[in-house]
Amino acid sequence: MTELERYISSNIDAFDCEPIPEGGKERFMDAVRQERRKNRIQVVSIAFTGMAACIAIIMAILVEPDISKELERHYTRMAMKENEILTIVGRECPEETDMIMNTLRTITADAIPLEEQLPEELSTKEKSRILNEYYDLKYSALENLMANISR
Amino acid sequence: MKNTIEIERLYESMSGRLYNASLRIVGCSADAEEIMHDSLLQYWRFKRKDEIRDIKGWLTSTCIRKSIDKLRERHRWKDFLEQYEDPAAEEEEERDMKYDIPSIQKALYTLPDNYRAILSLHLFEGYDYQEISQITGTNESTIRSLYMRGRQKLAAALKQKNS
Repeated sequence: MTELERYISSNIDAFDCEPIPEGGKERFMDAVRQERRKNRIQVVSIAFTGMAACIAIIMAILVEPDISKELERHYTRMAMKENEILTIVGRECPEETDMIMNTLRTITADAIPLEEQLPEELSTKEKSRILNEYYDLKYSALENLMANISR
Repeated sequence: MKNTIEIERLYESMSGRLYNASLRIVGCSADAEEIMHDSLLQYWRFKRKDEIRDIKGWLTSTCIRKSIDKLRERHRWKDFLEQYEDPAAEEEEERDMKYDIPSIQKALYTLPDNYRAILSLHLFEGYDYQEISQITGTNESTIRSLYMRGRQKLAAALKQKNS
């Protein structure tokens, strides 16, 4: 240890003598106030988010799904996708139109629509869930088909 | 401890220590004040305060890390290491030197940032070379030679003032 190191080590506390610039404490207390304000805003926004989530859950429990509207939405978007596919086929490879139409029929047509086959005793929510899964699957098959013919 | 009196008390008891520790590293009063504020606020926000056994130690090490980050932010650390060449080890002759606190403080602030930072960490904060190497992300042997070189520079600056 050098003389200098020895001197510093034996006077260590005396080196913390630079004064904080004037107004330092006021600036710090301002920062504390800002921090508090930020926390309050956070608490309020968390409370609002929580309330909104609760309302959404209650609505989901209480409000019955409208199956006929849901089916209409499924049929419409499937019909639109079929049109898109047929337009692409007609433009890119018209010789395959018949084959693609057969594939489309296989995907979309049902001898008896699923909604007519579901047992009466099922709740509306359960029916809605089964139908949504079923028609979403059909729609994703159409999307796959379109992706393949677009390549 | 979310009330104003407690945070004010903490400021009264720790602000000088934190401000000086940071100032010796960053060498800029405004930065040191901001780092001191951030360190106190970080403690204030900290949820598990009961787990902190040594508040002074916790605050000091938080403040030092923030100060080193500030130097990194300015890219001075990397530039410094790139320009640094290991000096031939020669010790300054210090016999018959008279030391006093204001002269040492003044001489310290004439040193380049990173020599000053390493001297501060070792001499004033009591970190060993290994700890400084972890804090700064620089290898231990470089820290050791930077420290030696910094000490020589400090001694030379003091000598110049004395003569």
